[in-house]
Amino acid sequence: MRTLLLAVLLITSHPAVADPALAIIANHDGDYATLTRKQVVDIYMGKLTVLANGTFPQPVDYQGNPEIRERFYRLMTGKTLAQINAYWARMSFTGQANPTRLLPDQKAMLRAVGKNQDALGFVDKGEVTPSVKSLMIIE
Amino acid sequence: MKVLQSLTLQARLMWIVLGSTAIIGGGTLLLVFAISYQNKLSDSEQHIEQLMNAVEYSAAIASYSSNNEIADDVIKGLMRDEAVCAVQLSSNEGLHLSRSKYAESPSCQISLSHPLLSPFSDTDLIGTLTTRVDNRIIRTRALRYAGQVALGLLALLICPSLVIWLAVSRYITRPIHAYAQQLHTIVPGSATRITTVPHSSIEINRVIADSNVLLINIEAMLLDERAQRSEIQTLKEQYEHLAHHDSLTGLPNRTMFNERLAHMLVQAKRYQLIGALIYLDLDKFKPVNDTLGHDIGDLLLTAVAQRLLKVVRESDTVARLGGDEFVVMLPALHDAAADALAIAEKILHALQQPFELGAHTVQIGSSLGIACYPEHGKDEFTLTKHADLAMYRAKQNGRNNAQLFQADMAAV
Repeated sequence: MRTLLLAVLLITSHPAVADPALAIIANHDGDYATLTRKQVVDIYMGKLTVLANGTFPQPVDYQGNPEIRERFYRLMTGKTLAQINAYWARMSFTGQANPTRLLPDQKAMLRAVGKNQDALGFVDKGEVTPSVKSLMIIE
Repeated sequence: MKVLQSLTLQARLMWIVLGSTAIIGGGTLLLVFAISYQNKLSDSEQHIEQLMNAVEYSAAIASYSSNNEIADDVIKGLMRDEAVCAVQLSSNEGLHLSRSKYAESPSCQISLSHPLLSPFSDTDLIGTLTTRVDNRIIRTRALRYAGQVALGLLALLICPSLVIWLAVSRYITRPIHAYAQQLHTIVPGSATRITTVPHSSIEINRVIADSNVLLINIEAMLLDERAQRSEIQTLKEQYEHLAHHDSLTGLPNRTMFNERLAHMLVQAKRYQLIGALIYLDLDKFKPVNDTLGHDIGDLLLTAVAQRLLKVVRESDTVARLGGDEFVVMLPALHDAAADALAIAEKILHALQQPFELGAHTVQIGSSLGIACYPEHGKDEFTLTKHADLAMYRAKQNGRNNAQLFQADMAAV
C-alpha cells in the first residue's frame, strides 16, 4: 500500500522534464517591439491579423507535426497539437482558413523569416542565428 | 366516532377507507407533488446548464475568433430547447450575437450566464454566454410532470383501497347484512330458515348453520309447548264440564244450577226482573228402576231430560239435582206465577206421554213445585226451599200435578 502510494506520488508530482526552450523570431526590420506573448498566440490562431502599428503579421509554421511544433503550442497555449488541429478544422468549416505558411524545417524557417519583413517564426533557442531577431524566449 | 357507530357496517367501512385514503393519500400526494415539482424545476435548469456546458467550448472559440457562424450554431443549438427564450453570446472584442424567441416575454425571468475563457488560455476571460429561460415553460413542464407522478400515485393509493373495500364488502359486510336482514324478519317458531347468503365465508356459513339449528330448536320447543297447552286446555274444559254437568243426561248439575241461580238472582235484583223455579220429581221412577234395571232407568232419565229441554225456552235452565230430581229455572217472566204454571202444565203433559225404551214402553208422571222470585223468596236458600216444599205438596196431592208455593206450606 505504502509503495503504491509512493508510486502514485512519484508519477503525479514528478517535476516536469524541462522542455527545451524556444525562441520567437522575427525579421530584423520587423516592427514587433511591443509584441506580447498573448499577441503571438492570437496571431498564430488567426485572431490577430493586424497590429496597432499597421503591421500585418505573417506567422510561419512547420509542415506535418514535428516535435517542435507540438512543443510550441504546448508552451504557448497549454493545448496539444491535436486540439489545435481540431480548432482549425472547426474554423475551416466556417470558411476561415489557417493563414500560416508551412515550412519543412528550422533552416527553412530561419531563411524565410530572414527574408520577409513581417514574418514571425519560432525555432529552438540554440538554433537562433544572427540572420533573425529573437523576440522572446519561451520555456 | 359516535357518528360512525350509528352507521351500517358497510357505510362505516366505506367512510374509514375513504377517510384514511383521503388523509394519508392526500398528504402523501401533496408531498410527492411538491417534491416532484421542485425536482423537475431544478432538473430543467440543470438540463439547460448542461446544454450550456456542452456548447461552452464552441462558444469560446466563436468568441475568441469572432466567428459569427460558430456563434450562430451555438445559439441555434441552445434555442432548440423550448424553454430557452433568448441566448446572447458576446465577446470582449466586439462580437455580440443574440437571438430571442419571444421578444420580451415577461416570463423570461431566469438568466443563466457562463463566462467564456479563451480556448488557448485558462485565465483569459474573453466573453459571456447568457441564456434566458422561460419561467412559465419550465413551470408548466414541472407541473405536468408532478401531475403525472401524483396521478400515478393516486391510482396506486386508490386501487388497493378500492379492492380492499370491495373485497371486504363482498365477502364480509354484505353477507353479514343479508344474514342480519333475514334473521330480523324471522318470527320465532316459524318454519322459515336463513338461507345461505351469496359470497359468504366458512365463518358466516357456520353462523348461519348454527342459527338455523337454534331456529329449529326454538320451533320444536314452541310447537311442543303449544301442543301441551292445548292438551291442558282440553283437559281443563273436560274437567270443568264434568264438574258442572251431570254425566248421564248432560244437563247442568247441582253445582252449576246453584251458580246459575245466584247469577240469575243478581241480575233480577239489578234489573228488577221476576222469575221462577220449578222443582220436579218423577213419579213411579223407583219401580221402573227396580223392575226393568238400572240401564232402562238411565235411559228413562236421559229421555226425560230431552223432553224437558224441548218444552222450555232457550234461556231457561234445566238441571238434574240427583236421582230422579230435576229443576227448571225460568228467568225474566212477565207474570211469574201464570207463566210458570203454564210451563209446568207443558212439562206435566210431556212427561205423561209413554216412553219407548228399547223393548219396553214406560209411562210415568211427575210432581212439580213452583216458587216465584221475588214473591216467594229473594235468596237462593228461601227460593229453593219453597219450591221444594211446593213439590212436596204436589206429591201429597196425589202426584202428576204442579203446585204453586203457598205461605202455609212453610209453616208445616
